[in-house]
Amino acid sequence: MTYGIARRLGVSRLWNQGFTGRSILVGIVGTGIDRNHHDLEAKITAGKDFTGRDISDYIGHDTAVAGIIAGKGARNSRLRGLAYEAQLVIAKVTQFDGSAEEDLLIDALEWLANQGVHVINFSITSDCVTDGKDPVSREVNYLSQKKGIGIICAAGNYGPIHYSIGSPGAAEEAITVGCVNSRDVLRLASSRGPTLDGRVKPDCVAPGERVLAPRAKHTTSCDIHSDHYGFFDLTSFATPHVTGIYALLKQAFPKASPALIKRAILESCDPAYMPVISKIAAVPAGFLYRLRASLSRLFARKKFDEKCSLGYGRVNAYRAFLRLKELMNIEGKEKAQIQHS
Amino acid sequence: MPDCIYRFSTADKSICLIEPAHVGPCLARACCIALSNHLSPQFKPAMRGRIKFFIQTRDSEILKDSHLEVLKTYPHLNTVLVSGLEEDIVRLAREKGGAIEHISKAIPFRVVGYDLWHRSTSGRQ
Repeated sequence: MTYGIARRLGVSRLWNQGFTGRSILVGIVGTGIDRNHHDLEAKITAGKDFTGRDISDYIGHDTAVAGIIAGKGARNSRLRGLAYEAQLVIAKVTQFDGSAEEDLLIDALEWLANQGVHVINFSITSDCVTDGKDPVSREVNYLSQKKGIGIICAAGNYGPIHYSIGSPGAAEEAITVGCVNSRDVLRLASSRGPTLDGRVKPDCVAPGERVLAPRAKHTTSCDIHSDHYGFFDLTSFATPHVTGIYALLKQAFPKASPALIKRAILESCDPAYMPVISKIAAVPAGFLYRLRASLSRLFARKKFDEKCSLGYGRVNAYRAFLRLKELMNIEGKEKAQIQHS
Repeated sequence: MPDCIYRFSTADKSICLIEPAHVGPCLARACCIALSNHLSPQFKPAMRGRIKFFIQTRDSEILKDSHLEVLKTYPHLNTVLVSGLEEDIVRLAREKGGAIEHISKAIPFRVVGYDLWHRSTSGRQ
């Protein structure tokens, strides 16, 4: 992750205040990790492969995710992750082809919860559109509500059509992340809401274009930058930015609940923008329908479409920090009033 | 082509298939009503053999006399993972659907964007 993105997201201002993810445990569900990568050495407190092998990353996906969240920037401090002093717990669930079984994902989430993680990054998704009542989504809601764990999910890359968010991005309690380019314009492939039961998703967007991140040894699933780094694209790599920000906020306010942190992140987003071409592509096929729908859909429903594509906008860590401070104060005063009365 | 997904309707105790590609243009509800209790024939050949289903129920006794094999239980989610033929699932839904809150086929998950990478890297080679 480059320093430029950290500055753009307001993360560097949190670093200056001493929030670097120290004492925060981040869980990652995915393809495993290259534990010998110099940015990730001594970062992993526990790891388990639910497919019965070892936690080595043969795909390269979650080594990059881990680097964006907590990479040390060992050889270049401009390449460190957002919460570069956080520790990692790795749950590997994927086969060699990048697929994972649903029950293993639930087992992995349960195991991560038992390891005491504060936040979980979930850059795996299903292309089956759901209403958020599928088992993995319900597990996400359960962990968030009952165990106080924040869960950040990728929206998926099945855009630009609406109703393209699968599980567990459709989970109500998850923070679901779409992706934007360097000018905060939505990427065409970023999945769009609403969910099957009509709720607005994704919740927010983050940078997901040519993100420079650690590359697992012998993997080529990215645009190769150098021996140890690559450029990664789309919502999988937008999600860890929000996970990193969540870790920083959790360090700053350890007593804040996942719901409160989510509220602070969403209420403090910066504006993000729709690409013109995706407005046209999102209209269902059919010439007559397109003619009739073009005005009503593109203009009358513009706001709803934007909300279901960009959520609240692009995350801003520093503004989220200030908002969370406000919310914690309000909550503290309310509690004091209740005790007083 | 994404995998299809089974949905259970508590209203008429029916199971239906939703093909995600249909969801955008026609909305899932329409497909669901049209299919009702009968599984879409076009999916039948591919669906032969035992399939994994998640059944959400507060009364796991309903599975006792069925031909379904219980693989895992998730008490905190009131959910059981079973393996069985689609006919067994349809029969269970018809006979004991009142005690079932939700049924869904175990769906595959993928690393987000892996297919895109695969396409782009094989294109480069």
